[in-house]
Amino acid sequence: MKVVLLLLLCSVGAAACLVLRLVLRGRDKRLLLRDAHGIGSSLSEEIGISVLCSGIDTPERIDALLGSEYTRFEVIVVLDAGGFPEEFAHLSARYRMIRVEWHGSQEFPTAGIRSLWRSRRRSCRRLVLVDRPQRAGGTAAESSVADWNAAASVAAYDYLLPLDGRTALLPDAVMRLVAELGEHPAGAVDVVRSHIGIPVALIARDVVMEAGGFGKRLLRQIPRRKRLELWEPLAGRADRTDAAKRARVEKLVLRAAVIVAFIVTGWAAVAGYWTGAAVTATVAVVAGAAAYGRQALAPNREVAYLGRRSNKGDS
Amino acid sequence: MTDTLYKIYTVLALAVACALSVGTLFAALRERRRRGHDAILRAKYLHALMLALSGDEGRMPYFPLFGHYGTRLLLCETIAGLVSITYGLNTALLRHAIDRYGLDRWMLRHVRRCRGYRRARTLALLACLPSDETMAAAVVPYLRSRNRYVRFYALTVQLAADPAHALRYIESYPSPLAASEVAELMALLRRGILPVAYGPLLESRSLNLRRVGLAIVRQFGIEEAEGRLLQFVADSSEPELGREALYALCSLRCSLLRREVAVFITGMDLRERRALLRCMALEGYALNTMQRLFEDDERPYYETLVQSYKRSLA
Repeated sequence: MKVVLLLLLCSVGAAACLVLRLVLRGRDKRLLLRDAHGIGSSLSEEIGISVLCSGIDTPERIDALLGSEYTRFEVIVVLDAGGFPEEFAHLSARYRMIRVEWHGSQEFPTAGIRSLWRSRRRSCRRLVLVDRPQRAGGTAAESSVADWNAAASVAAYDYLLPLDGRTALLPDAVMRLVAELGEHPAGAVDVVRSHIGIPVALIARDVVMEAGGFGKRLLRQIPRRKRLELWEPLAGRADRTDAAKRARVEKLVLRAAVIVAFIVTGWAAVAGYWTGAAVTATVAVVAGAAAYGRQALAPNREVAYLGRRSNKGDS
Repeated sequence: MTDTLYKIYTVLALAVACALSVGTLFAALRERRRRGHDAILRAKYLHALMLALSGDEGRMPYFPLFGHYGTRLLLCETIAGLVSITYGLNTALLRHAIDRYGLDRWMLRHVRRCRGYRRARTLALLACLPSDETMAAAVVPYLRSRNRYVRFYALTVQLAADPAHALRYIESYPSPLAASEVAELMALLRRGILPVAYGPLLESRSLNLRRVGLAIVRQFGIEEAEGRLLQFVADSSEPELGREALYALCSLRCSLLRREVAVFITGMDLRERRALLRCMALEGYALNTMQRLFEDDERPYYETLVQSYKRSLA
């Protein structure tokens, strides 16, 4: 029993170190690609991304998404004009949206779209507004999935990035995803997803269509060879005050965990209680690795929360 | 025996935890230094270089604290940031500064010490510094690296150091270039490092050179290359190149009602055909063109696309 516990502790410590290594490699790659200007300007004819937004109805959030410098990119916002008439009217007026004719997509006949709106402003051409009636009684997750399905049916590009109201993309996330896709031949990657921060996944449009829409099992259907895992944050929490507070608390908790684990390990070792000492030493390794990873990703967080804010909508 | 194993494990785990804590502290201090001390010093270096570049004397500027920890890298980053935005000023001074302070030799040593993406980053920085042909030879070992980014940025160092032989370097590059790498080469081309003459590139036997040629045709909208693009589409030995050529034709808004295109489309699978249809709809191709290229059972799909995307031009 004791040997099994020791093996378990060893594997936990090794896993923490391995994840830290992946995070540090991801950080280095991100810093490398941050200065690769050619990707944004010359790759734009190859890879297109449609960002599908559910529960995002404030101009600040939409402006932040439209601020991406990548050209082959669109933002599709789904909103219920019947349920939220003020928000819808505000967005329509701010971005000078006009109603355009919409024919139901053959790929996705159950999208439930009431109307489709596009901006007359040249600077906001990448914005599409979808009016979709919300069904009463559904959960927030079901509502988000239905919104993403509706947005997917009008999406123009080959990759879909679903976002909900609580998630905000980091300013360079789109470029980072494009760079990652550009490394592989066309059609070789079906999903790119990140494990760090708020999880987001960029999914090939055809995979979503073949699966009949977004759902819990969508990512599991994709074969491993077509998945690309990133170990760096692509998205953060939309609520910046909440996120900053949470980040401070996490930092303090991790530091406290390392210190307490050191003290307890020392005490257990002196008392001759080596099983306990091994457990707390493992806790120290995990907390230390998490603290190091957090510190290594600090510049990314800075980008996320100092954030660029586009003024495209202001006039 | 088990107790001994526990003791050994605890000591090792504590050593790892200590190392991680020291690493965290070091990273925090480095981050603080980068925001404070380094930012001020960078501004001073930039100011000194700008004054020297815009002055007539061509006198070597004074770099405060040069030689201290981290200042060489800081000066390299400052010069690299300045090289592409000198707007006609004489950059010989920057080259002189690099020679005088031995920054290129120091960067090469730094490249040797780093590993993985850090090495690639240092090579990318080295590619931005003004250098000579000796640098192209110095980075040859990195062309065989396992990390594709190290290989690629070693190539960019060669191209920047010896642009006269750019085509030879690309031709002898040991692995096929990815789309993102071709895009980076296009950025070098815009900086004036690569030749824009697309003809020899498209005629070349090297796949990498042909891909760069295709990218130039797309980037600069060279309609005269239509015939060569159609040859790529017709050539079944390189389907990936044929696909790229087809998309290039599409982005040039050339007529797609050609036998070569029709044959190529029949060989595509459903996903590829739909992606091409979306691209054609976005580029504004007429329904009639799609009707003549695609089967009747795909008609409802492309009709929806054309009817929807045309309205995005409203």
